[in-house]
Amino acid sequence: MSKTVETQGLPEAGFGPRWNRRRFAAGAALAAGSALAGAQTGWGLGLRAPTVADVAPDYTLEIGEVEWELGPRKKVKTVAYNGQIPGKLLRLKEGTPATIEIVNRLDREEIVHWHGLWIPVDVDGSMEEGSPMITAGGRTLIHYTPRPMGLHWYHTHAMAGRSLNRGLFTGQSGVLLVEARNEPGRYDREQFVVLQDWEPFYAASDDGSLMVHYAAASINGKMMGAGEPVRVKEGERLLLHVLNASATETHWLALGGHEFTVMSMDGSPVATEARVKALRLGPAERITAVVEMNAPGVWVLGEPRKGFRKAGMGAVVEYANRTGKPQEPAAPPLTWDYRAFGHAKPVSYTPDATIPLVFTSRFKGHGALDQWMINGKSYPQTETPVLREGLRHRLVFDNRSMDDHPVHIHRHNFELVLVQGARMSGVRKDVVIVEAGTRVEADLVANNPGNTLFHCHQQDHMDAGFMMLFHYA
Amino acid sequence: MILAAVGALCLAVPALHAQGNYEIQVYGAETVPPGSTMVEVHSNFTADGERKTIGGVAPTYHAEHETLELTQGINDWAEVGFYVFTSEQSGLGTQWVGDHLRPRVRVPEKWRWPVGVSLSTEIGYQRAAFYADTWTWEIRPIVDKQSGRWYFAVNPALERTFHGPDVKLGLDLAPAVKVSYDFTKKVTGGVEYYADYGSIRSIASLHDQQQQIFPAIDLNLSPKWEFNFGVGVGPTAATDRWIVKAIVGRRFDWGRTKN
Repeated sequence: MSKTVETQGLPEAGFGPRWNRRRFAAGAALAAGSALAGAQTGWGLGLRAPTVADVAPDYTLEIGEVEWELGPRKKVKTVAYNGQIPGKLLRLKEGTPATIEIVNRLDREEIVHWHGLWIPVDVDGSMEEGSPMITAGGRTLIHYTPRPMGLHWYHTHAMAGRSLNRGLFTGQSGVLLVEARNEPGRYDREQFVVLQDWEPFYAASDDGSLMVHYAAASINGKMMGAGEPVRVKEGERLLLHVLNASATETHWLALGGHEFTVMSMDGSPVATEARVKALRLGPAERITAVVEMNAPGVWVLGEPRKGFRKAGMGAVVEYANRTGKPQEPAAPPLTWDYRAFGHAKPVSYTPDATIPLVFTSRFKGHGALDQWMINGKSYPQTETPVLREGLRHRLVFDNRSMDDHPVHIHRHNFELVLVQGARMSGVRKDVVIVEAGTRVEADLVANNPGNTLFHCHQQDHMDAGFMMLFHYA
Repeated sequence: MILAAVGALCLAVPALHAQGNYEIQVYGAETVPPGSTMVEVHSNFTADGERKTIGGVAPTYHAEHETLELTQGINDWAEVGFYVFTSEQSGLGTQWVGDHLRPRVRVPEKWRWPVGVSLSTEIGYQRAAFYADTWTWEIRPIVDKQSGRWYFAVNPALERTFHGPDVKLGLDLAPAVKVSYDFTKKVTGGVEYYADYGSIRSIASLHDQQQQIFPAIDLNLSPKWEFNFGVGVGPTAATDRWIVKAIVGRRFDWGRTKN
């Protein structure tokens, strides 16, 4: 069966892999160097850092300011990669070394994090772990061997502080798809969907503290009706790769008249490919799902909640030879249970160590952001739990605050073992939403030595102390 | 609104005794969310005030004023409020006093102004037995700012009589100010100030102005409930001496989700 790759709003990279003798030789040298250094990164431990002249990069990302048109009469001034939102789609092969060139056109330092990849500290893109910042006006080459396969992404990891024009409040994010060597290809059409919120502002929240709200939202950088429709044919299997790139908001996604069969989460295949009427994604979560296109018509793919859809979070899905006003999704039940995607009979693991992580906040005034703490301390005063290579560590996320937290572990993933009071297995993630007042347990097998950052992926929370660094023994 | 501030019913020096005490509240810029309804009950007891009937207007001494306020959120920048004023006191029993209508607009938060800005206008009727001016109108600019634990609000209200003895006095200046501090997430304490300086063409002497200071407390126990309590003292001769006030509010979202 032939496949069509649709990249609506996500143009294929202009700088695709350019294999030539010079590049191949350089790559081979780098690979050899990596092996000698005992790391997957190319430069370190005495190796001369290659320059642009040495290696033709697979991709180039240029960080710069842009005035982006979200829709008619709606432009935002922000920062993006290569002047487009979302950033270009990067396709890499699992296990094949890749080189990314990053050019920083800003007058301040920046950093790019490769979210979901199991790569070394020096290229992970987190200054807290020890990755170097990209200087203002500077350029750098990043070399790594991408793994694991699956839907990942890249984004700025710079602190925003109180600014709503920095960090993930900007357009600095893009999809990174690590393709397996053998892709089974159980789909006819592939579509990427990137959810984002725009025009942030601070306002009071119902829980009494200041929080970030948004005036606009987009799918693949365009507000509802402003982008090209997703064109499908009856009987097709549409593979959706969905990323929530919002700085702070959890989103739901529904497609009128259709259901989703969830194949993987955060790049990892799920044990049970369950069908749902709507997808829930916290900030930084990814879901790959298949939709059977068996309800001809013109539909809205978007947030089922009216406020977000009105703000622009929607796209049109149009069957061949069908016209008319797009039908909005009926309000689906907004309930989500990770356990639905786990093993029917949960596997029981015995952890080698348990690491309790209690999330709390400190009120700083109705006109201020809360201060966030893990085990009673805010970053950088937080504890530094020790991971022992090869051992299974049970992370106990105990959220005693009034907010949900999408917590993320760098350079690893974890398997969910307890959610909503019940045991589970078979779902591996690198981001999990720990709902307010609940506990989630997840097992992390320490298999990627080096400093490992753990944090809430809400930009305003991580900047207010919700971070912790794990060390390897 | 004319009945909002302690001094609000005093439109001119000759009527300084006609203090209302029906709704004693400094307005913040925030409006009720679209689709939601806010129900508030204002209970104000004048512990020490005017004891005589003057010009046919009932005294305020030991009067218990109950005001029902219903506010409907229209969109993220507009709301409409409606008031039912009542009075209960010895010899008069429970009486309907009047009704007001109050549309209000605000600068939407998404405009990201450094302060909250809102504009309220209020028109209504009150019986002559409780206030000599029966038809009145008010325009109330509102500016507020929440910074960390501190909150500031200013309401430089202007009032006008359409029917009654003060109809020729023009605009009357009746400012209100609030400063408060968040002691905890649930408890906020502060000071509210209400005044009526008289006609803007002829500001009254301090002796004849109405001034009232309320140490007040706000309890933030639930996002759907609001509680405000205060005890006010009137230091000028034209002001009721002691007033105890309470506001209890409940927001109804009618099944509307957060977004």
